[in-house]
Amino acid sequence: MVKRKISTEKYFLAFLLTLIIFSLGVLMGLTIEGKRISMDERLLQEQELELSSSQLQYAFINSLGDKESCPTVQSVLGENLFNLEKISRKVVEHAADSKLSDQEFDRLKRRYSLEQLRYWFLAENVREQCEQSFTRVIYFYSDNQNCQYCREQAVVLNYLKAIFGESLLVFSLDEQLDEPMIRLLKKNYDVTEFPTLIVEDSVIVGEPFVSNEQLTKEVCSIINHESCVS
Amino acid sequence: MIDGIIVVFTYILYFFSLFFVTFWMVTLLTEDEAEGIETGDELMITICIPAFNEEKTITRTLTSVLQLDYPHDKVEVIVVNDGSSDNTQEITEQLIKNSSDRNIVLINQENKGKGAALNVAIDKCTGTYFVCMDADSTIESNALRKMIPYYTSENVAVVLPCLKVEDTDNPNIFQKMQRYEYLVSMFYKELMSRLDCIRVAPGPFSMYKTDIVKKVGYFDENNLTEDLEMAIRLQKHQYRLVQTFKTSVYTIAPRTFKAIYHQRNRWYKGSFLNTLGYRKMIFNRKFGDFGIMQMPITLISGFLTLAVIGFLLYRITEPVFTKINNWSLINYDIIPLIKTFSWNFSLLDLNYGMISVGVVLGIISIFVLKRAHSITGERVMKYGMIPLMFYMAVYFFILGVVWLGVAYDLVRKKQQRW
Repeated sequence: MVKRKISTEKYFLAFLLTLIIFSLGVLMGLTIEGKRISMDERLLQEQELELSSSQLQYAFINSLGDKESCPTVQSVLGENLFNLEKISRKVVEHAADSKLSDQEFDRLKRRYSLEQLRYWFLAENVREQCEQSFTRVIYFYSDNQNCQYCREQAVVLNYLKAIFGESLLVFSLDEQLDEPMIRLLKKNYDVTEFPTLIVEDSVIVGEPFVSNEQLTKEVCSIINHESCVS
Repeated sequence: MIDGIIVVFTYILYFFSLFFVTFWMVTLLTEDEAEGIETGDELMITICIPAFNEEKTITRTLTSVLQLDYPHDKVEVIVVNDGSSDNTQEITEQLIKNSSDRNIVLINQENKGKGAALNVAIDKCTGTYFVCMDADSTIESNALRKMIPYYTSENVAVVLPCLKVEDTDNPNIFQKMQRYEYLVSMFYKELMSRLDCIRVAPGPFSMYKTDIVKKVGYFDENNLTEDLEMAIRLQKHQYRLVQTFKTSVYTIAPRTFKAIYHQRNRWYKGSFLNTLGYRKMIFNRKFGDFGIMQMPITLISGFLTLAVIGFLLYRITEPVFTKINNWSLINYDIIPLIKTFSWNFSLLDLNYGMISVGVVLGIISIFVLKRAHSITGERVMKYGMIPLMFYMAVYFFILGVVWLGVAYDLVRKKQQRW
């Protein structure tokens, strides 16, 4: 009988080639990850510039008492916040896809969250100065393991944002971020479960999340909006 | 948790798929195809046609066998009518009468299954080589001349012709897809032949060395896939099975999903059970690449198919269900969302991992089809683009359904005969 052969050399060569191809794939992934971080950084810098501009506009109105420019400032504020939210969402997606740059994405997410909170304060100032009608909502979310209904809550918020436009300002904060300001807010509002919504200064609890109808009612109790009539 | 498992599973699957494909490519580039040497010997051949209710096809099959280019006095044909309830017996008798100058024997027996039919023929046969010929297939006339020379190589027990789907009038989409399947399986057979890892000698015109079949103990009469069992047993006894592409045999592909399901259910179940039966060969170095690679792959192929299909279905349906669930939360009022929709996309957002997998799979598929085309001499685009697309997108799911059926049958221990 002929002794059966095992193609050890071929297995080894194939393993080596597979390893090379796989490593190239991982390398490509890392390069793309790096590019994504650069892009998100650049977009954040643009947003920081927009915030500085909004802050200056507010300071201008405040110092001159020029209330005629208020609608413009509110519109810019709403638009900037909308863009910031859009980019934040992208950062969250990129972070979820990230394989080796978790820390860098966490830093980026922190910076975006702080940027949102600056807008949150600015919005309050603008409202006081301009007597504008809008509602601020802070949305505390977490990843899927800690927050079973965050996806549903986000759907409702997106929908109401589409309905109320610039009259509803949503500030989304990842409760898992290691950011003292977020911890302070959580402590201040006694937030222990997720998702949690803070509409102006009130904590709104839903079972298991705040529904479309419930949140619409809350928003309409604060502002006058055409959508509230029906 | 589920997402994490899916990611890990995807990477493992991707790595091993890539490994095996690379291994096959290395094999193709480094291992020579088996070659036969013409000796001019014209040894006695016995061709056995087991037939069960084959009145529609037996004439064509027998005629193609009688037209083989080989001395007539060196060809013995044994038709085993395995308890047919149709006119198989009468038609065969008439064919024998019409070919009185040829050595054709008809054995009528009560239905005992294909394995038993083959064993009856082996006991009666006088040939040095014993050919099993399914009664719904036809063979090219040069087959014996092209196949016999391979027996000059050491330890060859079986020689297999290239198996193709026969052209029929108005083939439907199932038959067109199976044509691609057979082409691709020939590519795989080519590789396995180079590694001495062929694990099945299909019914249509597999040529055995009679004394070896007798030595290893005839066909298993109680086996769902006696041809597959015999191939594994021959491998166990360190014999070789060789694939040639110099001649072809044509078989009729099932027309309906039900027929495909029935045929494949038997094949896959037989494959799984026989591999399990010979589990001592798995990862056994004594059996070379066949034990180290082929047997484990055969054993897990069903699980792998089901896992991949489950994964694909999850990836396809999960976003759809999520979307529907999301819309239900807003009472399906999606008009405001459409009105305020803004494009938020950059090239960096693409999932390059999945795209790379797609590109690699696409390149491999094209290579396999080109190679299959060149070794079988078949035109890949014979039926146009649509059946090819169907084959690539749908056929895997059809086979998945078959594997599901196999799993269900095995769990409830369903008894099945050939």
